[in-house]
Amino acid sequence: MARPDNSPLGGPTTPRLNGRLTVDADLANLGRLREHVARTAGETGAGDDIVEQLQLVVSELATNAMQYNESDTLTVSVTGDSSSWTIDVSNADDLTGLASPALPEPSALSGRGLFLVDAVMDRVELVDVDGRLHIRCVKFAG
Amino acid sequence: MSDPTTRLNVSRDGDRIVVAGDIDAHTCPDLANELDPLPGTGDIHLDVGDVGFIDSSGLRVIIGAHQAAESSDRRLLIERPSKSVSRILEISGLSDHLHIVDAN
Repeated sequence: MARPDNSPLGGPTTPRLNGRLTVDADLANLGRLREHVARTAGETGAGDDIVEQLQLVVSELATNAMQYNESDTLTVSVTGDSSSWTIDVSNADDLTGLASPALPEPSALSGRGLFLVDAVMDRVELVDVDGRLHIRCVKFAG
Repeated sequence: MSDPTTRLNVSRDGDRIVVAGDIDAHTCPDLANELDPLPGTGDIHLDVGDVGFIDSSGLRVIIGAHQAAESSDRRLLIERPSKSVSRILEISGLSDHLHIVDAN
């Protein structure tokens, strides 16, 4: 079940809101979240490469959140304009920090998710939104 | 199967596996089921030309199959990777580790 709304995003700075989507925390909804990101970012001028990177980020972060957080729902917010895009993913309360992850060995079966997020985004941080931790990622154009 | 929400199609013909759609944490079990155990007896051809999206969950399945193949003196040949798949493999440092066969 998806419940799109246009409530303002919390935090010390409030980027222009383009779209927020809340879904049941079910891996079957990963595709819907990627579609939401692609549609919203595309509407604000993001090129194919940037849309692809944003989709990767939301897929990785949403997967982590669904697998390690007990919340029944997950919220992804996409904000931006033609110069930068911000992805905000809820349910990050299990994370205690975001040290830059190292590139896993080729033979490693796990540990690539956060590395990929860090590799394709220009900024990755934990933010407090109404007392809950979110991961917020920013991608700049050019 | 007629399912409007199906995001990954995996078909197998002998030692050739053709994948189309998105490989993520939800759909990767479908791919894993075709690669474990490895089909056939020689090299395995994994055609990913129509894979539009793959994340680390998909990479895990591919790496696991690659390791299983290597341990039995076989190769997992990743064929026709799209630009997006190639990019993920490059960023992950896997381009020189896996057997990748471009279309050209």
